[in-house]
Amino acid sequence: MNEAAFLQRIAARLGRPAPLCEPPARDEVGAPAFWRDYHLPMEARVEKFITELEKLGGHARAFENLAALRTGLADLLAQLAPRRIGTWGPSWVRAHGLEEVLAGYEQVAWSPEEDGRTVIRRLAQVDVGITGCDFAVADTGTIGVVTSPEQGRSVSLLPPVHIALVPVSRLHTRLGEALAIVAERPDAVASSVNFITGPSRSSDIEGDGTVGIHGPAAVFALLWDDREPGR
Amino acid sequence: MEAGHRTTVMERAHQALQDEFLRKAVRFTTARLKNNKLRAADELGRWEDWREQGRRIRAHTVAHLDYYLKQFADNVRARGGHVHFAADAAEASEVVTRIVREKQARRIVKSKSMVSEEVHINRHLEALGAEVVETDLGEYIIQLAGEAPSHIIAPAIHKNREQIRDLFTKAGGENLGTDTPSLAGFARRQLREKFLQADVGITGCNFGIAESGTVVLFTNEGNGRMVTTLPPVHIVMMGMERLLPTFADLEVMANLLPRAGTGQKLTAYMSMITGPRRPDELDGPEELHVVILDNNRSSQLGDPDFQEVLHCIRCGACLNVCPVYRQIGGHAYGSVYSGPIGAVLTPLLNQGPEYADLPYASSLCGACYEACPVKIPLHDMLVRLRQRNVREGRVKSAERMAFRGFRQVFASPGRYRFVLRVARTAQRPLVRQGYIESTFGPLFGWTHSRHAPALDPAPFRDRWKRLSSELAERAAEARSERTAVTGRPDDDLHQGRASNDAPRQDGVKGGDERE
Repeated sequence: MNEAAFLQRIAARLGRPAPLCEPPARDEVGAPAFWRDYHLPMEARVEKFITELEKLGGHARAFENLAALRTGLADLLAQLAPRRIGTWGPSWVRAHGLEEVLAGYEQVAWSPEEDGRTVIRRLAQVDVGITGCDFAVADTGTIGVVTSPEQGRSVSLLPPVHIALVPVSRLHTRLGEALAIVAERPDAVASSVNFITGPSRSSDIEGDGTVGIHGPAAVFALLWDDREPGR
Repeated sequence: MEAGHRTTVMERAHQALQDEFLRKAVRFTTARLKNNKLRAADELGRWEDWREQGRRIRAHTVAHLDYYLKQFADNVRARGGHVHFAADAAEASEVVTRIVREKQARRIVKSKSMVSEEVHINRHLEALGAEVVETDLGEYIIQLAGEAPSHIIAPAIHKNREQIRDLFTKAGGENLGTDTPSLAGFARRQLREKFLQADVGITGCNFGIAESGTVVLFTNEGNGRMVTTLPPVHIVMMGMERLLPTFADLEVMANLLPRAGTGQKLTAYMSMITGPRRPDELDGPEELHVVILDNNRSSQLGDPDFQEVLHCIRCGACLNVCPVYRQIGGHAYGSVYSGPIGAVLTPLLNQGPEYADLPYASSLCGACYEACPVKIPLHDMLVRLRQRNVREGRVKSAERMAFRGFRQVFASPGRYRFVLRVARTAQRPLVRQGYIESTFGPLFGWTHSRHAPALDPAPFRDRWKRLSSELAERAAEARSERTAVTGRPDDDLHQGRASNDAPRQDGVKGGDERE
């Protein structure tokens, strides 16, 4: 059916001679006012994020600064003992100074220089995927990742373990704050934005919960304080 | 009802009631989901305010669907996606099969989509010789069994682990145990390869965001992300009402949908897809198609009785609280949508006699309305659908006669008294200890499984004269007792007034005493 006829039928059923062209007036948009007032100070926000993620079987730890986080990441990797590690692109790895921490492992970096099919096939073989985080939500223990040429969708999806590095400056109290950032430029939303809340889960076998059915079975969030000192 | 070879909901329900496992499994899972939901709603707080906000957003969107649908379609195209409008199921499957043919796709992976079930897309794609694999664990199980989903969010709710083991063994699993990790592990390994090899991915759509042309998916397993990340072509199949104006509105639905469905604060994944992959991106589809389906949805618009059915966000909460669903499971409803929402939606989307009996699969208790996160009055709609059946003459002639008689009897006091007198005598052979137990007769539907109270030998009207004089005597006694104690008939009332200017809260008691 053509679009015009499809929309015309809807308009006619709604009692309009032609489809509406002007944005309809709205008295209220989005969450109730009391919810929009919900705002946790940073310390409580970090605590809430960690509590919520751990409730879901995820793991979270906060570090004082990036250097401390790097040490923590090195320890975590030593524990997990992966053979191969996948990461977001080389410039992201450099920006976080992770070269040294990752040096001992076979790596698959997500790079626009590579051939897509090949890099996906290689990434499907890694044991741990390490990504950044574009926004996190304390209320639900959620990690938000935005796709870009260096930030592949697969890195947080294909490996059985996902480690996300979360700068607290991007940690918000509620989901709506993260959505507001996405909505700032509605005409330029990234091809894929994923909000990840704990490990992949299913209860389809007799209602018995199981993790890691398709996505990662383990999710680690490592937070660090990236705010300017004195703020 | 009138359908020739088709079974009725009664027949299907009877069949389901013989299946002890199904009944136990459905009761168990729905109770768990229901309790989880109640806990989650309680934890969030102000649930009624959230419901009302959800209702408002859905009502506004549906009332201006022409505007938001156009805005959504324009934005999908502006981001490089293709939009297809399908008037009915046949058109939708034609669009999808055409894309699959053009791409010469052989391998198709799907994440859970009720619209794709509504359109029976798998059948059409398999007819082309393509392999179609359902990748939601529950959907994978029922696809192997060749069955339809029996719950909106827990499609394999009726299968036990032994049955699942047998299905997986047939699909190539070797020495599988019946423990959840073994079974889930087998599905993971099988499906992982399917994702990596697929030519086309098909998903549904929980919400389309009009302001940006974004498709939002709420999933838990990660298969939705796989299907939208790995295959080179992504086809979205969505009902035309599945829109929200803005991302801000999505925050409300993200608080309502997962809680109402499973009691989760948020599903493990909320994926927002906006157009195909951008230049220099290595994963994500190169092509994105959005198929928007009407299939009689538009017929509900402008109908004050049923427009609200389009507010539904497909959470399944009404199934979990329905006393009928809990007994008979999803297959008894005979269509892809089951439970209270199915009993309303199915006959609306498929006009005619085929599903006209579904609105009777309800006790009209209203639990569905109470559970609905966007306050759809499903119980009222069930009554209106029954009315529609009567108007269209779709009732048995005995029922029509019975109600005609009812009207005549109840419209005249004389006739009413006469009929009751006759009935009181006529019931005698059936009454045992004050109850009618009968395995035959016009009230069989009630009396074959429960006792119906018999008509009292003395009608209330006769007893009333005696009762009212008894009541008057008692009231007089009470008054004289009180006067004996306090010396004043309504002492405490006066004191209450004197010491407190505000009106008394216990108005009933005060009223009694004033008399």
